[in-house]
Amino acid sequence: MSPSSNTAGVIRFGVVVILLCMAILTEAEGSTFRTLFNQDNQTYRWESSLLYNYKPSDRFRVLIDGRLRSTLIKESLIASGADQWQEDREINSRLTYQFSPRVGVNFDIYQSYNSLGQRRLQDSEITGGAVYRLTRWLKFNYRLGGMITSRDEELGKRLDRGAKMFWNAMVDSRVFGRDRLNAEFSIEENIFRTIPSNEFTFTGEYSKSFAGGDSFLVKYVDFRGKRKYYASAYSLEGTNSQVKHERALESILIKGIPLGVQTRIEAAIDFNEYRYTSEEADSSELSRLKDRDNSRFSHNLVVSAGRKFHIADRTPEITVHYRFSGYDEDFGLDERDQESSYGELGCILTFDITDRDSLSADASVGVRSFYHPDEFALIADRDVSSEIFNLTYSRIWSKYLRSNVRFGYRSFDQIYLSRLSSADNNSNYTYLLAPGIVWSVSEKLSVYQNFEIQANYITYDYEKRLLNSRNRIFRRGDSRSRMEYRFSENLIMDIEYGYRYEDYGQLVWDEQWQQLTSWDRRTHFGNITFDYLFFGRFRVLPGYSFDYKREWEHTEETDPTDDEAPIEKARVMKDRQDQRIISLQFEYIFSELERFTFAASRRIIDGWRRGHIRDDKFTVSLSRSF
Amino acid sequence: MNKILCKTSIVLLILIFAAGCKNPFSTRESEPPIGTSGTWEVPTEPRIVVANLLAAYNERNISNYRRCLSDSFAFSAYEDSVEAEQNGDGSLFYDWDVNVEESVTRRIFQSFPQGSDSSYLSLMIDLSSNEFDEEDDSTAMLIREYTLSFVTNGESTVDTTIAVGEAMFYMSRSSIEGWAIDLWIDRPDPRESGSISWADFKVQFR
Repeated sequence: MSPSSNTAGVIRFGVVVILLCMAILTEAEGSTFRTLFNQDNQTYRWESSLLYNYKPSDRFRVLIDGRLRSTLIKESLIASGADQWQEDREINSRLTYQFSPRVGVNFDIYQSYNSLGQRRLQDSEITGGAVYRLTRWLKFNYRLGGMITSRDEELGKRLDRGAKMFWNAMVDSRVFGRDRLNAEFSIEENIFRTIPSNEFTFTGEYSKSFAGGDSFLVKYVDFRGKRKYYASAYSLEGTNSQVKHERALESILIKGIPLGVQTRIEAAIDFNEYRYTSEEADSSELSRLKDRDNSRFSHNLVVSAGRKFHIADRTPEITVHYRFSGYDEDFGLDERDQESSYGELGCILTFDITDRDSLSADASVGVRSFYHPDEFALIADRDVSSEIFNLTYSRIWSKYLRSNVRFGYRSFDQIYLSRLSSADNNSNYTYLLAPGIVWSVSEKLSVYQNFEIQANYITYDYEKRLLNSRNRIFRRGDSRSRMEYRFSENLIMDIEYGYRYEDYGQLVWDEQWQQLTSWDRRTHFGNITFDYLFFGRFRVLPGYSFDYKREWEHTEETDPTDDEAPIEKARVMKDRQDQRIISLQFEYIFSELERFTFAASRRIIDGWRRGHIRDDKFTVSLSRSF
Repeated sequence: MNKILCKTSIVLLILIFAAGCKNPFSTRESEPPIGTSGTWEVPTEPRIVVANLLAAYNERNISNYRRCLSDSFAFSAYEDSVEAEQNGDGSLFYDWDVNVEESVTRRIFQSFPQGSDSSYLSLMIDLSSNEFDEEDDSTAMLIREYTLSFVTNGESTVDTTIAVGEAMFYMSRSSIEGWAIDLWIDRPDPRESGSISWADFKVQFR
C-alpha cells in the first residue's frame, strides 16, 4: 500500500470517527474524544481516541472504546532506507442489559488492525454472554462467540477461524465480620484450527482485620496456559507450542507490638515454568525451542518496624526495614543458569524539629550476590554492595523566605570473584550537596536560587599504575537562578539563567589523592517564557531558551628535540556548541471540557562537533470530554 | 520492671542472633586479576553512555552494561512486537524492563563468552552524532546505527548471522547517577527484508 492510500485510509477513518462523535456523543456523560497530529523532522503521527459511555437507564449501557494511530517514519537514518508506515486501529464495544439485579446479558465486538510495511494483522471477535448472581457473594459469567484472525505477509496469507468460550465464577464474601474471602476461577478456550489456546486461572485471597488496626492477608494465584503459535514469519509452515504454569503465594501481616512499634511483614514466593515443543520433532527448531525451556523460583521477604517517638511536643518517626530476596533460574543449560540473593537493611527518619525546621533522612546498606554453576562461575560470579544515604533539611525563615539543603551519598562496590574478571573490581562513590532558597519578594515576584555540587570517584581495587591510572574523578557544580513575575492574573513571566562547570580526569594516589584533569566544560543556559491568557479562553505561551557549551582539553606539550625542555600544560578548546530554541504554544479553551492546542518549536544548533542543525516540530490537538 | 525485662530480653535475643550468624553484608573475596579489564568512562554526556554500552557488550561486562541503564528502563521493538503478535508470541516483548534486559543480556554474554572457539559475537555501533540527536539540560535522544554479528555452531553447520538496524536511546540525567538510558527503541533495517534485528536476537534469550 502506498503512503497516499494510507493517508486516504487514515482520513476516511478519522472522518468517520469525528462524525460518529458528533452524532452520538450528546448526553454521553463520562465520554471523551481526542485527536492529535504531531510532526518532527523524522516522523508524522496521527492519533485519535474515543471513549463513548452511554447509559440511558440503570439497565442498559453502551460502551465504545476506539483508538487509531498512524505513524509515518520518513527515510530512515540507514542510508536509502524507505519511508515506513505503521498503523494501529482498535475498537472495543460492549452492550449490557440488566434484566434484574441478579441476571444480565452482554454483547461484545472487538476489532483490531495493525500494519507495518507489507505485514497486516487483523483480529475480530464477537461474543455474547450472561452474568448470573446466585447470591450476594457468588457470581457466574459465561461468554460464547466466534473469532477470525488473519496475518497477511510477503509470503502469503494465513487465516484462522474459531470459537471462543469463557467461564468464570467469583466468590466475594465477608466470612465473619471483617474477614473477607475472595476467590475467582476462570477458564478461557480459544478453539482455533491452527493456533488454539486455553487458559486456566485461579485466584484466592483471604484477609482478616483485627481491632486496633492489625491485619493479615494471604493470596494465591495459579495460572496454567497452553497455546500454539506460528513457527516463523518467514515461512507459512509449522506451529510451536508453549505450556506455562505460574504460581504465586504472598502474604502481608501488619501488627502492633509492645513499646508502640508497628510491624509489617511481607512475604512472597513465585514459581514459573515454561516449556516449548515443535511440530517438527527432529528439526533444529526443536533444539532452539528446547533452549527456551525454563523455570524460575523467586522469593521476597520484607520485615519493617516503625515507631513514633514523643520528644517534647514533637513526634519524630523512624522506620527500619530488612529485605531478603533472591531467585534461582533453571534453563537446563548451565551457561544460562543463575542464582541471586539480596539483603538490605535500611531506615527512614522524619522529624519536624520545630514549627520552622524539618529533617528527613534515609539510609540503606545492601549486598547482591550472583552465583552460577561451577564451570561457568569463573567469569560471572560477583557481589555488588551498596551504601546509600540521603538527608534533607528544610527551614521556613519567614512567610517570605524558605530554604533547604540536600545531601546525598552513594557508594557501589563491585567485586568479581574470578581472576579473569577481577581487574574490573571497583568502588564508585558519589557525593552531592544541594542548597536552595525560595524568596517570595511580593505577591507578584518570587525568586528561586539553587546550587548543586557533585563529585564522583571511581577507584579500581587492583589498579597499580601511577600514570595512566584508570581511577577517575568527575566533578560538577551548577547554579540556577529563576524569577517568576506576575504582571496580572492573566500574564506570568518566567526567567531562568544557569551556569554549569564540569571537569573530568584521572585520580592519582601520590601520598594523597590528586586530580589530573583531562577536560573541563562550561555551560551557560537559560530560558524566558510568558503565559498570557486572553479573555479567559485563549492562551498564548511564547518561549525562548539557549544553551551555550564550551569544552576544553587539557594536554601536555613537549619539545621532542629537547629532552631537558620543561613540559608545558596546555588548555585547548575542543568543542563549542550553541543551541537556541524558540517555541510558541496556543491553547483555545472552548469550554471547561473542550480544548484546542497548537504547539510549534524551532531548534537551531551550531557546533564544531555537530555542525549546523535546524529542527522543526509542531503538534495540533483537540480534545473534548462529556 | 516488666518493661526493663522485656527490653533486656530483646537486646539479648538480638545479640545471640547476631553472634550466631555471619555478617550478611560482607562480600566474598576475589582472586587477583590476570587479564585486562573493562572499559568505563563516567557518563558525563549522553554519547558516552552509548560508548560505554558498546564496550560493555563487546567485553561481556554485565555490570558495566547494567550501569548504562536507568532503574526505570524500558525496551521497545515495535516492528518485532507486531511480528511476534502475528506469530501469536507477542508476550515475549511484554514488560521489557531493566531486570528483563539485564537477564537477557547476561544470558547472551554467557552463551557467547569472550575468546570462545565455538561461538562469536561482535557489536558495532556508529558512535558519531547525527542531525536527529536531541540533547537538553537533563534529557537526550540519540539515534545510532548498529551491526551485530554472531556465529553459532550447530551439530553439523556453522551459522553466521548479521543483525542490522538503528537504536533510539532516550536518556535522562539524574543529579547523583549521571546519564543513563530510560528507553531503548529498536528498529530493523527496512532494506533488509527477512533479516533480523537486535531485538530479534535478544528475544531468543528471554
